[in-house]
Order: sequence, then C-alpha cells, then structure tokens
Amino acid sequence: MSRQYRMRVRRVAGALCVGALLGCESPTATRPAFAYSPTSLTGGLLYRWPGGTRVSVWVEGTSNTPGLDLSSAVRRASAVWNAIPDVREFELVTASSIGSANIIVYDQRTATSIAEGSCSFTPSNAAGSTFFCATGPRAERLSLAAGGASLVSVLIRVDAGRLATQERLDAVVVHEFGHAVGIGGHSDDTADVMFAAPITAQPSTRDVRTLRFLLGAVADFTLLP
Amino acid sequence: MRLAVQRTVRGGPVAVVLTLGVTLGMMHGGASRARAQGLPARWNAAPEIGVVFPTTWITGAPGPTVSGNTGLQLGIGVTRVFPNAQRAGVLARFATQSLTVKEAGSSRSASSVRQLEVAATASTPVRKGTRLQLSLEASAGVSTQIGAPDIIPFRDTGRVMPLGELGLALARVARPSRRQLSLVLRHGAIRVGAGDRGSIVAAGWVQRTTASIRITR
Repeated sequence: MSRQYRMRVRRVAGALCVGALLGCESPTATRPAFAYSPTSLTGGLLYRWPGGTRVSVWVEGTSNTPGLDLSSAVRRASAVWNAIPDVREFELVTASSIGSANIIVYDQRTATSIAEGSCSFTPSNAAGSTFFCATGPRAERLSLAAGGASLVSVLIRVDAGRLATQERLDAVVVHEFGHAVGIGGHSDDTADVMFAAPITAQPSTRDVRTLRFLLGAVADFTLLP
Repeated sequence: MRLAVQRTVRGGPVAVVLTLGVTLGMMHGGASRARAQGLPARWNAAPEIGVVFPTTWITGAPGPTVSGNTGLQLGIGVTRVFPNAQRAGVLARFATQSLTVKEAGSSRSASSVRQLEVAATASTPVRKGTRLQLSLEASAGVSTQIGAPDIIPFRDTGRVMPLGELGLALARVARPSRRQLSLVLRHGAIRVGAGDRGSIVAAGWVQRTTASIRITR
C-alpha cells in the first residue's frame, strides 16, 4: 500500500468521523401539555415554588382521630410528589421546627399557631383545604398568631374526623400537597389524585403531566415568601 | 506474571483494574530498560490532567436545559508504540462537572455529576517537525455517570453510556530518554438513551470537548 494511498484513506476516515460527530442529534427534554387546567381555581394565575427550592413541611400537633396518622400521610405525600420533578424544581423535606417551616399541616381539631395574614382563610366544609395569600409576585409570609415572624406561606388544613380510614386521609393529604406544589385546579377524572374528592393517593399520569407542565411555565407568583 | 495477567483479564471488571496495575508495573520496568538502552519504549504509561469544557447534557425543547460547567479531568493512558510511531492502548479517566439548569428565563445550579470512563485509543502522527509533532487520536469506550440522581438525563437513562472521541495531540519532540509533554484536544460524543416510560427525555448524542496535558513516560 503506497504512502499516498494511506494518507488518502486517513483523510477520508477523519472526515467521516468528524462529520459523524458534528451531525449528532442532541438529547432533548420536552415538557408535556397539561392534562387538566392547573389554574382553574386561581382565576388563571399560575403559581409554584422557585426552581430548586427545598420546601420545609411541619405537622402541627397530632391528630386526635384514633387510628389515623397525619404525620405518616404527610411523609407519604412528600415522597410521591418529590418523585415527579425532572430537575429538582422543588423538594419537600421535613422541617426541623415550626420556625423553619414553609408549609404547615394541621388537623382542624387542633388550632394552628399561624395567623392567616391579610387574606382571610375561610375554608369550605371540605375534608382538606390549602391556603396561601398572594398580593404581589410572591406569596405573603404568614406570621405566628402569638406574634413574631415565620417562613410559612402555605397552610394545609385537614379534617381527619371526617375520614374513616388512613387510606382516605392519605388521599386527601396527597391531594392538598398537589395544590401546595402548584396545581391550582381540579381534575374531573376520578382516577386522578387531583379529583375534587380524591379516592387515590397515587398521582396518575395525568397528574404527573399537569405538574410537569406547570413546573416549566412562567409563574404569575411564587410561593416562597 | 504474564499468565497471571491473562487470568485476571478473564475474571471480569474488578480483575481488569487489578490487571491494569500489574501491567503498569510491567511496562514501567520495560520502559526503564528501553530508556537505559536509548531505545523508544514499546509500552508507555501516560498520566494526564485537564479540563472538560461546558457540556449540554439535555436541551429543552421546550423544557429544562441541563448543562455541565467547566470541570476537572484526570486520566491515565497505557499505550503500545508501533514502529511507525502509531500507538494503541487503553485510557481510563475521571471527570467531574457541576450542573446548571436553565428554563423559562431562569438559571440555577443543581448538583454535580462525575464520570468514570474507559476507552480504547489509537493514534497516528500526521505532522512531524523538528520540535513539534502533531498526532490524530481516536477513542471509543464507555462512560459511567455517577451522581445527580434527581436530575435528567441521569435520573431516567442508563448510567453506562457509549462514547467516541477524536483528538489532536501536539507534542514536543523529545529524546527517547526524556518524558514527552503533549497538549491533547479531544472532541467527542456520549450517547444518552431514551428515558423510561413517562420520561420527558429523548435520546441523542451529547457533544463534549476536553483539553489535557499529557506526560508520556
């Protein structure tokens, strides 16, 4: 094989390799469209936590309802929602104290030590309610009822006395946490955890699609006070 | 010693690491003998240190764009030198990059990823002057990603990814008894597979550029 021929083969091989490298298609990530409106309860306003936020959750008091464990329902809800973000848009963690909490969860029979701020919290006669108050681009920081500042911006109230089983309590708490992480709407599909009267504690593919959509959208306000 | 090497190679991935250590020792001895005789060594061990330039791991379409920032890279290559100055061998590398996520006009740092790589390499000289020599290199192997368990694509796709690279090495022409210093520029691609069912990741090739200083003994 002549030297000239070898050089030609090398050049052609090199050009092919370079062409193959430069012509490679990059991996992509495409957010899905929502399965149901994430803003139907907020008048079209989209909200969420700022990207990368570690959201501290505090369970206030203990449920007085025998056989129901609110703390375990909250841990379960945190785990199922934490599994969905693609680039750690949020992470629900257990707060070390009420002073470091961003979300307070309490049973209706236990008075909360958080004041409702400039909005009034008038929950309907529901098994679960989620409350926050946004008067600008950020949710309001709620204060302690006894006075003093807090980092809390979201309150979740559960009426455990109305729920007969732990499974029902789990479903309601997971549903309320869906609101707390940004889903400001209800689904009309009973298989979804964001159905108004949830019967499952596991987010469906429709719930996952809706959350993934809103986590990439530009928010009208954020929940971090 | 040779018999022991063959046995460990058949033994599997753990044994290969042990084999590399034994082989390096053998080659170091061979190189020393060759240097003492004033001849080029048949085998060379070549440690290298360098940087990984910013790398886009995932492009949002629309969605999150995940990029690796400039990172550190350490490696060691073991090559056999053929009479016409062509080389073939194995390169093991470790690289680390912090990650940045960009989406909807905002940007934030998010975790970091480490890469362990093993690749077969081949190089051939393309220009040789009196003081500098330019070589073309090609390598193919696998890259294992460690870390970033909650960041795509690392969360959803396989952790072991095939890679291919082309590189240019600019070396000072040294006497056979001296260590040779080279600047190595490589550009390559790492295959990212499609995510699991329900994942938002579509497969593709991540392009990556690295620059290293290599010392060939």
